[in-house]
Amino acid sequence: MAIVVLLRKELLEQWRARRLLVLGVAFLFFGLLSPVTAKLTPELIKLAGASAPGLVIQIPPPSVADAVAQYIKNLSQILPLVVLLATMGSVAGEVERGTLPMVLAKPVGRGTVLAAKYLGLAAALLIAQLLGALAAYYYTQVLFGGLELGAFVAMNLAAGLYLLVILSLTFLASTLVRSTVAAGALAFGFWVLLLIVSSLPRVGQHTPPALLAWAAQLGTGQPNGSHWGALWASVALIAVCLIAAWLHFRQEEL
Amino acid sequence: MDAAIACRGLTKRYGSVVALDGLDLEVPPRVIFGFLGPNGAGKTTTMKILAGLLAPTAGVACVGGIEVSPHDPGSRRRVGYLPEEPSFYGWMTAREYLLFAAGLLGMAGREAARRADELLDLVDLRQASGRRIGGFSRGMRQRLGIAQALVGRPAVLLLDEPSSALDPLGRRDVLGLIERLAGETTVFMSTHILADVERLCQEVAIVARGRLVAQAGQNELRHRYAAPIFEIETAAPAPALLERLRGEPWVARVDQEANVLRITARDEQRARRELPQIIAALGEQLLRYQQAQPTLEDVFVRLVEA
Repeated sequence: MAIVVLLRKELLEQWRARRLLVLGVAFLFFGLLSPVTAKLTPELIKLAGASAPGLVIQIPPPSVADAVAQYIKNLSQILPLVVLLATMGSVAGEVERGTLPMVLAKPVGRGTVLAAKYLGLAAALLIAQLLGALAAYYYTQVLFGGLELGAFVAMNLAAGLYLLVILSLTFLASTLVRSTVAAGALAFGFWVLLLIVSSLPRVGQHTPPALLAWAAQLGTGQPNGSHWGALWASVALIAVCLIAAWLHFRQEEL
Repeated sequence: MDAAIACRGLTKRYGSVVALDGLDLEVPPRVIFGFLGPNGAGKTTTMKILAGLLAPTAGVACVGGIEVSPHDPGSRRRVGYLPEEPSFYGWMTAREYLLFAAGLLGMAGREAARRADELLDLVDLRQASGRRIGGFSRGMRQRLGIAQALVGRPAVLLLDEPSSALDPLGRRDVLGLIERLAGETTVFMSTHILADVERLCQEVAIVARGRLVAQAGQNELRHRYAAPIFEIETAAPAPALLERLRGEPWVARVDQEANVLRITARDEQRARRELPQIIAALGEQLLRYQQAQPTLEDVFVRLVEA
């Protein structure tokens, strides 16, 4: 099966080109950092206040909700950017380097090549998020305790779907243009557009970024209202990205 | 027997630019076929269409009687393709790349390993098989490119300018390799290095401005299209002779290199009759006078400039 051969190549490439390492280390780092930051931030602020005589700062003791909020903040701001940077060259980079013609001159379909690439990237993202989540869960339990496993898993599934949206937008951008840098810029543009649309009243709650608010509520065990619209919008957007990438790539003249 | 390659009315346009303009071509099986043309003549475009990487705007391209298309992966099973500048995954080793190529062709396990090793021997890369391709020289990459194109024992091997970017040693190796493939498969080789074609190719097609200008065996091509050529060597430079000859109506062109004049004639009989008389009349000291064998370059220049 050509897709198995291609998927093996993609995974081996992620490993040898250190892409998996970069993603894994980034997720692990921010997974560890989130509960630590939540725990230490009040202490740091108190220290800052101590240098100003007469200033009294009253901060409630940090809780598990603060650790979850910090984790979601990292998953929504820094880690999507890491995903974007690590995956923007997936197709454009190969077009740029000229490695595709000898592959596509073999009896394999272009859709198969794209599918293997996307699955390889999604697998790398899954592994990285799993590492980050394990680190975050462990340290949150150590520093705060009381984090429910089911709620934490549900939160990660919702946040993971958002990251998959970012990956899909980046993948589409990488298919549409012929240089890695241009793909990165276009993917960043898509992301900004998504954030702008998500800030619109009424529409915003049905866009992928709303998954993050849902994830935060799930993580603290306080679901507030239905977010199924955001979920279905995310699934639809991923499908649109993949179909558009395939339609463009099958006509691409290499 | 079916032609190994058949193109009929092959046309490719990029906006207003016409890269191929109704190319008709038939390549017989099991020959080394030279596909000649100046830069921009449409050679690479033809290669890419035959390799299933580009769709023609009009016309058809068939390999072994099957129409090749980017949308039909099965149609590429009989084709092996080496692009002009083959790019590999630099993080793979040579053997890994051949196993990858074998996997894409449906081979696995021992069959794939055996084929990879056979090809590493054929292209003389067995010693370097475990090294990453990123550190390979251009010649090694070109040989590996030929090996990956041969993995599936293709009926037709498409080589796009296989020796153009190589140093003399790399070129010698690659040409020797292509020579060894003679009779095993049809080699369709585009190039603008005429010496390579003269050495390797039994049959030649010349394209210019996206159209077929001529196709024949090498010798036939020379006889059919070459204008008669005369070479004169004098003891000293002969500017008066040069000027006189350039004014003669039966002379198509005169090329000068040191004391040698190379005269392309329009009228062979008149040239034979009048040339010695002109030399004698001008009192030039003649060292050599001969009617030269036209080269492929003479044919090429004449057809492409026409």
